[in-house]
Amino acid sequence: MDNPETCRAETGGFPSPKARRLFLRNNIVLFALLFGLWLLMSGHYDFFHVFIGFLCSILVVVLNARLAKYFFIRDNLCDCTPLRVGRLFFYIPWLIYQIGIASLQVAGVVLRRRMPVNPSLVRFRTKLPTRAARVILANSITLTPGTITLLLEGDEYLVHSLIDASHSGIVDGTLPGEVAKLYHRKPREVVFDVEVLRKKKTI
Amino acid sequence: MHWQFILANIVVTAGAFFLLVGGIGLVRLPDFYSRAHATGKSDTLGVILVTLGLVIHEGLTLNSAKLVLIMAFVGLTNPTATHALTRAAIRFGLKPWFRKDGPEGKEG
Repeated sequence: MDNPETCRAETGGFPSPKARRLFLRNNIVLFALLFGLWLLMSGHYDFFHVFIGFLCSILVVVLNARLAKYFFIRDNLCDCTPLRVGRLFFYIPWLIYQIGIASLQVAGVVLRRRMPVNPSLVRFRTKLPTRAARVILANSITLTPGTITLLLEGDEYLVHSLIDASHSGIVDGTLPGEVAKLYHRKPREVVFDVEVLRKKKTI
Repeated sequence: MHWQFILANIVVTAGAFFLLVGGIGLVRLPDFYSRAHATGKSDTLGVILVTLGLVIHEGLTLNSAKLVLIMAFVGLTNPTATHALTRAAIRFGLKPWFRKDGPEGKEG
């Protein structure tokens, strides 16, 4: 096991036996999700339709396996911090609540006669554990009314915000903190180097 | 059955209100980026509320499970599409409009 090459040969291309187990587990979860989606969408529960769904789910997993394996090894996914799935049940309702608040703020601004919008760009860096976490944060920012993620490069974000109240949740670290809690039990500072830009030349 | 119908109507109307705000914002806001807010954003809550109203109207059936799936897919694809549009714009070099620049800052 000392030589990584022999280790790779023994575990079928994976860097460690643990990685191989994790990859198998991921594929089983993928199959369960696909099959569940089939059952949900089809609505026919006789043997023929369920069996066809079973075959299709297997086929998708098998066809996808080689590509998934390539990315799994290339991105070293078995060393990533795992997502705490249970936390999602808190995070999604919280996000919807935030979307509700922000929608009312934006609606109030858009419908007012003078329309006091004050656009600004916010640039900041984050310390998030994985690439998936960064994408979750970028999508959550864009999903919240009043803020759009314009660029995400490495760990640097560029966010366009419509009114000042929109980006307060990002600047004080609430939203990124909640995303970080999806991965770590302990809350920590994740946002730094925050800049609010309001001039054309600075971009 | 009756309260269900009333509640569903209220929720769908609230969703329609946010979609309307999105439409008004699309016309009124000054530049491309803020208009992207109007289309991509008010839509988020609008679509969530309209679908939620339909779920309430439908009750606990297979169809409402499908409606919940629609909500999930809209929640995933809507921000992705908005991000793709605005990212293309900023890569192209379109400058955002800022208040201090005055209205002549609209040009792209």
